[in-house]
Amino acid sequence: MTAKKLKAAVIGPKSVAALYGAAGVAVFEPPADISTPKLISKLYNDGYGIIFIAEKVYKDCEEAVKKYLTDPYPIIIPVPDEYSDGSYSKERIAANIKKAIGSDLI
Amino acid sequence: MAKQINPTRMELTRLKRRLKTAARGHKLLKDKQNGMTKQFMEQIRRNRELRNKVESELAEAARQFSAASSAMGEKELGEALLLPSGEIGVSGGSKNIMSVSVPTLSSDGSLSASLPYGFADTSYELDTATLTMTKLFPTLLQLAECEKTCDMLASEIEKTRRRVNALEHVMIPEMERNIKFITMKLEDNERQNITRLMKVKDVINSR
Repeated sequence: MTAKKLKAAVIGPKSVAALYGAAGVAVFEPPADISTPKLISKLYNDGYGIIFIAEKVYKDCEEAVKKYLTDPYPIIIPVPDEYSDGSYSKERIAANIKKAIGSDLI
Repeated sequence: MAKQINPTRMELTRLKRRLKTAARGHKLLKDKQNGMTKQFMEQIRRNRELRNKVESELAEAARQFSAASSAMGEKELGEALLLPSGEIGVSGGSKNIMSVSVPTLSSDGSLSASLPYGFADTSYELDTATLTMTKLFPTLLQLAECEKTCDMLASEIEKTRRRVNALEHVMIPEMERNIKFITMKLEDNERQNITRLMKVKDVINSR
């Protein structure tokens, strides 16, 4: 596949998103009028291939995000917010290992 | 089920051919599963390392950012970051890992390490936080690529494992049972024919 230009976005509360905004990532706050999965779908249609989502927001739309699992894009990954203690990302890695191998060997 | 099949030679040939294909498919899928598992283990280790690195650096950036926020005030901080520091140049492609198409990302380095605000009303902590985030971005891209690859490989391995198990524990044993049933039935018919012929021969000889 030929390389294509991608845009990056972050969905999260102001406190988290401002950090990424400083690095040049487009910032979107969790919408009040539409659901987060709809916002993700809209962003993907607008050419955002990489979407970082604050952990707390990601947990609420985890099931909806699974439909993008079969395609390489969009890449949707949770990023830590002010409430995270690092356990969620470890849980996700452990869940992936369990899914692939059957038990968490590492 | 063995009772629903036709005990004919044609059916036996068909079943033997299917069994051969299923055994070959099983071997190929098993090899694919092993290959994917090997790749997955490499990726998941890298994922863990990148996650730890990103989380510690993000925590540091967040700490600097909150220090800047308390030094400058939220309104001034918002104003300073109103204009993004630049457009991020990311090229996305895909590569094939055991017939799973996974993403590849590369940053074209267009994001400069310049600060998008003047220095008059901003604090030192904001500069540090912004530069930390800018430097962290290529690692974030690596993490995104690696995490998506792990997610996709895990799903594909699970699917392949189910197929392998279905072939190994359901389809192949069932076909073997059916082949055995037809073989036994055909042998039984053969014996019946021989017995019938012997009987006929006895009847003819006794006249």
